[in-house]
Amino acid sequence: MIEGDIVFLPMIPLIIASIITVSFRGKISNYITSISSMISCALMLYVSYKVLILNQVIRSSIRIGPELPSIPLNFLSIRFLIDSLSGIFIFILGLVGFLASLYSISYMSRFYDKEHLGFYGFNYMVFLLSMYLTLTTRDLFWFIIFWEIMTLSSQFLVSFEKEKRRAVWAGYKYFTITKAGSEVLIIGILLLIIFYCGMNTDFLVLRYVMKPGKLLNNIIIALLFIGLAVKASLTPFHTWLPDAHPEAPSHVSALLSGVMIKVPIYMMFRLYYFFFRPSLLWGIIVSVMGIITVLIGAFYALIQEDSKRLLAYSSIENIGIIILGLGVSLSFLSINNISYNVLGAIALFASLYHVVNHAIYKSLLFMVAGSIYYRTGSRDLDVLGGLSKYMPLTALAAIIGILSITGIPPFNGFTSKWLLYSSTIGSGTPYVIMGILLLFTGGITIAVYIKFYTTIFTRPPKKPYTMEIKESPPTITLPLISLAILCILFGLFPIIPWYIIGDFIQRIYPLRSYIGIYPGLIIVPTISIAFPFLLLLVLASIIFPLLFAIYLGYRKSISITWASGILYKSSPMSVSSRSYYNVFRTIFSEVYSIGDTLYNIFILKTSSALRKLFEAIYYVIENPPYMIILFLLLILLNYIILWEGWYIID
Amino acid sequence: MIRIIFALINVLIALIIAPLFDGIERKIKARLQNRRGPPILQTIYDLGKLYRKENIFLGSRLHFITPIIVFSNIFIALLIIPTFIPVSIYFIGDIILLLYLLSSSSLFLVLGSISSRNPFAITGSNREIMLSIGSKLLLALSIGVIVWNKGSLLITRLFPLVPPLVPSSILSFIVFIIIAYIESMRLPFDIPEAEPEIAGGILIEYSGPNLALILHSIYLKRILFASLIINFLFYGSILFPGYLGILIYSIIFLALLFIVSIVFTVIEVFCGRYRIDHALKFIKNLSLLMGVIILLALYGY
Repeated sequence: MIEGDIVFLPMIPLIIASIITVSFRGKISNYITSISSMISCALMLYVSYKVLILNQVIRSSIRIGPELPSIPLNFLSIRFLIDSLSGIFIFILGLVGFLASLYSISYMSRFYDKEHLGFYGFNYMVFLLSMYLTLTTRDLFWFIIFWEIMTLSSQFLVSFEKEKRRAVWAGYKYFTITKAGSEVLIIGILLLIIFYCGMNTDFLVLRYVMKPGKLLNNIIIALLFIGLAVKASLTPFHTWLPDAHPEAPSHVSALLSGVMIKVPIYMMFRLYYFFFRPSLLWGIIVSVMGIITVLIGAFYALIQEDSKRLLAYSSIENIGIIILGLGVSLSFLSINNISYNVLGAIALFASLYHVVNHAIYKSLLFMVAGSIYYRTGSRDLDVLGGLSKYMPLTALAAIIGILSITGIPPFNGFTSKWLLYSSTIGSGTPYVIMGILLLFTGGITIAVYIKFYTTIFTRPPKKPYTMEIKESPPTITLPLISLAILCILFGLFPIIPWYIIGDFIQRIYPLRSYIGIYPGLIIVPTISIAFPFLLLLVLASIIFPLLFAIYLGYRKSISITWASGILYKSSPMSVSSRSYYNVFRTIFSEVYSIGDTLYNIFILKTSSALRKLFEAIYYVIENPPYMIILFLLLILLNYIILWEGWYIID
Repeated sequence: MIRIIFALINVLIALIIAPLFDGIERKIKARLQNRRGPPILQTIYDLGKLYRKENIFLGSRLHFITPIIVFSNIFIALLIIPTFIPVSIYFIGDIILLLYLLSSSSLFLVLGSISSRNPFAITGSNREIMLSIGSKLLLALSIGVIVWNKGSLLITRLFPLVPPLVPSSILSFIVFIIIAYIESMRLPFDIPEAEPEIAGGILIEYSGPNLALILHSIYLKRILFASLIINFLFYGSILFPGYLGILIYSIIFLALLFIVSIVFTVIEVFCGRYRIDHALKFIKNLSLLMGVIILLALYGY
């Protein structure tokens, strides 16, 4: 086997199994799906190990048709490239995909007699495969094709429970909005093809044909960015996500939230760091989009009454943090000043670190919600309650996930957020304001997850459960526990994520050579946690067990909750999830009205405008005279382009 | 190593001073209301008694364990800032660690309190968390502006406030004083516990050493914010060389803490409790003001 052909290894189990699994139903097809996806994801981890640790750049190509002179070469062969950037995202895909597939073994047993699991298995594997292909291809032309396959297959997974009206509607909404986004993306790519690179849309070619500082460049970037932003659910375009992610099976939600919305982010990194040079203008635009997304995501997560919907809004917030990091790094790296550049590289580190962290803890939390759904059949925060007694492992994993996502030191969320704070608040530029707003949303996130935890695990349920509730089976708890351990490891040892993302950052900016410039929480040359912080941790870890040991020596008496002298009754004495933070909602109602206005303008108004546009197009198509004129115009345009010599075939 | 020992000594002094200050405040309050009041050492006696009592387990491990976590959070936070002896354990970006330790303590306090399943505790926690979002907003804004003007993320470099004499810094320092007041759970803002209304709120199900730890961490938090205020005003300006100088510094610091405590107490006596929506509205208006201050900072004032 040639060195580069390792790219194909993860595809083989998926392709073979996806064909086999359709012909089965129920248990067999589920087992085929889970096991072959696990094998494939393990192979993806191996590929990312080759790229990230052994520092190989994997190139390969596959011929899919005969060579014809009239057709551009890249239509007939798919070329692959895995470098240090795509390696990061393949690592996430492999990790989350492996654990999600393990999780699905028992999770999908709920649906053995309800749904056709063969179709689910096929879509699940096509989804994994298309994400992998999207991340590995080095051609924009194939990128957009795999991108669309990704949207299509994940849409089937979203509306998996077919008899639920909401699920089908959510899948439809998801598909239409992201499809509209990818049309914008396609227009951007077409402009690239027409004006810059011809049919050769290879990533390496794109880097060299660009001429910097043109208006056209910015138009193309804007189109590509909007197209990607719709899929990454940046704020004006985020409305599909809170509907789509909750409706999918939980391990698919983990994949959607942990990995799929990172794929457009991968492309944004390519776009801004490989195709174009970092620029201050785009840095500002991207970071402003990021901070708005953070605020809207956090504020809306606060008022949700459905566990997975809450997590979905929180995903929007975290995507905002990642995008904010990207924007800050773009603008600081474009300035010709060494101290700003270091800050920019740190923001880049923070952004990619947060990509990895968010993949870990958000998939953990989605799997927690799924574990609860598996036992209770409910996601409604008003129905759930008091589960920590019955599901202690799930509760423990949930606590660790919550501590990570709210950024309590020393969990991983804190370390990545700290990097972002130090590059924004520490910069002394107007980006301080963004850092301040980010700090504020840290407070909101804590409120959100207190609601999440207490409504599900501690507060007594409104009505006693009708079914028997016990801990989920080991295939569900094992992924939870391993993700929880990763949360702690990634927070305490920043060198682990540095192994994953360091290569890429070194390629963009040699951060590691700036020894001693930036002694913060993370010492840059060794990428380890700073000594004083470690000292504080050690002190904390002495004080805490010491107090606890003293505690154990106390006389302990067991009592029941005091309820003003009457017997404790759960239903009238618990607070409904709606009334959590009710006052806050009324006081800060302006933020919510801004969010609703954005929805009105960008989704409702835009979609009605698009409808009118398509009606006009249909009118043209239905009337032959207009059609002929349009056709002639297109031919004329084509000739003009050819004549100008822009149309290059390599 | 000396630094660590001094920082630990700081915290140990604070552990004793904090309940003592509360005792003094109780006395002052009583005198202002024409009462006799308890002896000055009453809070220390109370804590001592509570620490020696038995611990009550309500069937929720989270509820049982969180007071320790709350206490250790505040303990670690106190190590970061210089107090009686002007030393601390520091690294760049420790101000962010401080803010996160504070919010971590309120997170655990609320988690533990709700786990008790008591309706009063749930109401109190709900209020506590809304109030802490609000104060977090103000804290982020004011500390952010100060950091912006001082140009450093190191806590000790933020002190003292004055050398860049800019209006935005001073205005946000005033807002910071208000936050220090809100965070120390004093009267218009003691909505989460609200003794007469919801019978102790978040503290209701805690008793014995658990209650003592939470009360102790509240007193420590008061010391923490008061010493931040003092450091912003006087840090480094009253330090004389030598060990004697450090001793004098500690005494002056203690006196200043005392003054802050008296001022806060006197304000407290004249206030009735806010309703939670009034408090949030107050915080919102203040944060709009902070928006103006940020604009000032943006233009270099």
